[in-house]
Amino acid sequence: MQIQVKNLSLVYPLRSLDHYLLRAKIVNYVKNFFIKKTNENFLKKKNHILALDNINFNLRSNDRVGLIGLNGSGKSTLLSTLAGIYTPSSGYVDTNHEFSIPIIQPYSVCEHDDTVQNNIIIIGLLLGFKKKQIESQMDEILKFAELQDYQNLPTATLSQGMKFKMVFAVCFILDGKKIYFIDEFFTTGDEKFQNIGFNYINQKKDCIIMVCSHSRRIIENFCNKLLILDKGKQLFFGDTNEGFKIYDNIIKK
Amino acid sequence: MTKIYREIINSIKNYDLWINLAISKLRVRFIRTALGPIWEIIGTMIFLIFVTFIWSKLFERSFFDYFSFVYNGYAIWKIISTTITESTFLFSELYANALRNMKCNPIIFCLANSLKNIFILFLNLPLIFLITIYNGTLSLSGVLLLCYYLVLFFITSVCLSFIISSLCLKFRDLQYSVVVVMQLLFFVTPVIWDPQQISEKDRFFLVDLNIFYHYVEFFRSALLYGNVNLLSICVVTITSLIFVIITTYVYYKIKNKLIFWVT
Repeated sequence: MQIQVKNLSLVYPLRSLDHYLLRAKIVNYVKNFFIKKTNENFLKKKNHILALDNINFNLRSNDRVGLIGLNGSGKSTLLSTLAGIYTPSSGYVDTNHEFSIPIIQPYSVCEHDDTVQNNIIIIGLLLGFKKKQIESQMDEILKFAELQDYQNLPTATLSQGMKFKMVFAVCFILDGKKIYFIDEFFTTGDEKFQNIGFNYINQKKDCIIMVCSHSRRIIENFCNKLLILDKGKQLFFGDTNEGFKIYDNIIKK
Repeated sequence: MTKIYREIINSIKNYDLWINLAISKLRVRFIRTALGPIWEIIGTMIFLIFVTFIWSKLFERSFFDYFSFVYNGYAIWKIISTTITESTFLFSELYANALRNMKCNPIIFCLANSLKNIFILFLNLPLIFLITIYNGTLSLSGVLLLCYYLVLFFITSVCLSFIISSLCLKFRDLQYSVVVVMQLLFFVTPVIWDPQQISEKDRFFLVDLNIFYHYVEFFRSALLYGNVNLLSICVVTITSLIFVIITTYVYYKIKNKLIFWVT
């Protein structure tokens, strides 16, 4: 199992809400008619942003990578691109999506009026698992998430923490996936469950796990590699301790 | 192009997902109600009993004769209308979170939504069959035609759903215009009025050229009369094929851009 990322760039279209208004379109048209056109940069003219700029790295089985950077540095965008949600504008991501699982905000697809058990099936299916497998491991999932008593209740009755446990159990208890892209949400659970969760994940063999987080504690305890992003650019990829020295300098600026 | 076909076929093969999504949406729709899906039949019946009562008097037709005509037409029209109207916010609201956070082909959500609406149509089928049996028009050919129709209807519904959802995602003004057009089409299309009531010249424009009429008429005639006119069969078959081609093209053009329109 491996991930090879080469010269990965992603151009992201940005549109202000005014852009859609007919009034704004007319004003823009009149402006462009009278004002002499200049050789503006393509990205500026078209209101695009270079969300990821020339990212390069290789990951192998058992790699645990921490993805860190200031807000808006492109961490979630990188995870989404690696998971195949966004198609790169240039460069490529070489991985087998059949074995990868994007854990970005899976709880957002919950039908809050539907039962916990049904939501587990839907989330599992959306993440690419088979229904038979989900049903056969249902008890295990409910037990790990401590939701046996809630399985036939609406998901709306669960607290945020319980929903998090449910999603965690669906993502990690079900077998078959080898590459996990975990977004920041994972670090919102309580510390006790975070420790249980990360210990559980750590036992998984031959997997590649990429965690996006602002928590230094999680990355230091869990990851053996660090990837630092700043405004879409890759500043560092390598050893965690060395990486944090660079990250500290960024924070101080 | 082979890759495009493979992606579409893989979405269809992922039937576990879209069937469960359809069932889930249907379950949630009637959740916490005592009568559940029976509301679908009750709602339609109450509306149509009142419509039939007034219109049968206006058109001087027998109540039952007119009721069976209107019920068959309205049952399928409601599904056509709901599918199109729901498509206007399918990607922008209903499944926006799933598109943003999961690696899922958008066609899966169109399959799920169309199937959910077919399930709703099935809720009305027992009553339609009862009416047909009472009329004495139930025949094997009618049932076979209905099966053929349902396959074509599902294909058209998925394709139309994808095209409308994608367009409405990019051009949000369409969300509102589609709803207005559908309201207008309900009165223009012979759903609650009989095409025989208008002149031949008007019939050509309002009926023969109206694709929606053929979709309504195919469904209605298959059960109500046990046969369907050849024109409607041809129009529905050809339209379905054209929609498949258009959808494949639209999918090819926008598949990488669609996610940026959602976020």
